[in-house]
Amino acid sequence: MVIVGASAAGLSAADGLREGGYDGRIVILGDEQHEPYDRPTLSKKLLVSQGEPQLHALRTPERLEADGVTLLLGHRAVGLDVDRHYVVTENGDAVPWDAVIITTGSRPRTLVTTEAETLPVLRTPADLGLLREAAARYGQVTLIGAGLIGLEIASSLSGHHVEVTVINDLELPLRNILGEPVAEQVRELHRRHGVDLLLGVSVESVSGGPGSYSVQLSDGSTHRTSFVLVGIGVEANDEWLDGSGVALDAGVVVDAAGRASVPGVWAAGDVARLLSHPSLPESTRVEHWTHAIEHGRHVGLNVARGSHADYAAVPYFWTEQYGRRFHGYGRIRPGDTAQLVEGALDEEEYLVLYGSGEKLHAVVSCGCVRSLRGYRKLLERNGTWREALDLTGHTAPIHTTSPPTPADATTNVRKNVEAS
Amino acid sequence: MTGQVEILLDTNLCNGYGVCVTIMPDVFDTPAGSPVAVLLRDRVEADETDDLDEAIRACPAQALAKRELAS
Ligand SMILES: Cc1cc2nc3c(=O)[nH]c(=O)nc-3n(C[C@H](O)[C@H](O)[C@H](O)COP(=O)(O)OP(=O)(O)OC[C@H]3O[C@@H](n4cnc5c(N)ncnc54)[C@H](O)[C@@H]3O)c2cc1C
Ligand code: SF4
Repeated sequence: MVIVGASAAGLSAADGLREGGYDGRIVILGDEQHEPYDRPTLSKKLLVSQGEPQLHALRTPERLEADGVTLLLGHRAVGLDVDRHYVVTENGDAVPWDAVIITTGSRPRTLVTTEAETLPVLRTPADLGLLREAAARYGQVTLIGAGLIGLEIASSLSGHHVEVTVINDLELPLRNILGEPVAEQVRELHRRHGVDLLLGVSVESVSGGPGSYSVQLSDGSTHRTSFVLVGIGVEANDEWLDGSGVALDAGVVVDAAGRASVPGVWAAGDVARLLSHPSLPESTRVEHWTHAIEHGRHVGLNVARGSHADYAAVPYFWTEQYGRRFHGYGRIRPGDTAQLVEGALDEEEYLVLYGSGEKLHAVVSCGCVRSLRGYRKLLERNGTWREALDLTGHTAPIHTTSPPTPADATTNVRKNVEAS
Repeated sequence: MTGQVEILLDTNLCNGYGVCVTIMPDVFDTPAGSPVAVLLRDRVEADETDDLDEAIRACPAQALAKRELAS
């Protein structure tokens, strides 16, 4: 068995293979030089820790050895031969497989300055090093894009004497993910902590270099800053499969079992586009940590057992902003009604349900972690709005969300810059 | 086999994200002000091990482990 991509989904796929009883050889190819590490801490604790950032390793060498997993770091896959069953690496090796699980994840979308310099992003330890250095040297950082990662960076840095500006073309960042009432709270949280939010404006172009950038905005103004970091969403690392015969659609297209369009080829995690899933209205990539773990394991189990069980884990994410922990299960849909059922929005703890008609679609909490299990179980078995309310005892709706735009904030920013 | 399993939490690794609490609120907690999770009990019964395994997998910091207790 060959697994391509050595991170959350890939390692979990190996675990699933073993758990499912596969006892042959497992090779994991990864293009990074680091031992696989906990990526989410890059925008949280590690951004502001003292001294050299210590990556959290996901597996000890002892465990990999005990599991019989061969991890080949620094081995980038550049092609897949689906007839002769080889993965071709950039070193020219042809690694044979009986089945291959693709877990190559995603990478941040990039923006290029008018001088053709690619602006920094945050995905890897090298990116983290650059951002930490810049934050310390300039004491000033501008973030283009206000997704989960951008706002986490803003919250981590602004508490550490860094002057932070966030630019986003949406008036209300994170509305698609957190829902309107919670997204409003998060926006206020950032304002209260002194982050300069430039919302409802898009970036036309960026020029200059580290120490002195000029950002041209759609309202005609120019924003000057020492350092720019881009967080405008991610794209799948699937280009190495171009021409292989494996169906791609901004990600490797997989069925509910995790199978790609070619027999013997499977995919999981950020790179996989799920054609069908009970909680997701349309085909989507899910770009969250525990999804990568659960989906990877699920696919590993299917491969080992020769089974085609459907993957149905309810999508879940968490994020930390100013020490507050937000958790969400399910997916908010356009036109959903929001109902606050615990706490108060202007307090530190609250929990909001989202759904329409008889359907419960999602639950988002700030702090109320302990209540989530019940709603999550409901979402797992497709429970109703009424059942959700029964868990709480509340009735009157407090807030209706307007339909979120399908494309997130970032697409417009990008289009504008590319066009310039 | 008693079927009981001991839960091990490495507080040096834990980041207090609370992912485990969303899965097993009757076992884990992240009290306000605490930088790390705490265990409300250190054993689970045989019929809870699926949830415990899920929490162990989900912990991004790899701070959780288990030990089967001999009868
Ligand atoms: C800064 C940051 C903070 C985050 N915080 C959170 C959070 O709080 N909560 C949350 O739910 N999610 C968070 N995420 C998202 C989460 O990290 C991802 O969903 C998760 O890492 C996806 O795992 P994966 O294994 O599918 O892909 P990845 O982690 O992207 O791993 C893919 C691996 O494959 C390698 N690879 C790519 N192409 C090739 C190739 N051709 N050959 C060999 N190897 C290749 C890559 O280098 C990488 O090592 C965060 C992400 C970032 C960047
Ligand atoms: S999931 Fe892991 S890191 Fe998070 S609180 Fe639980 S033990 Fe700590």
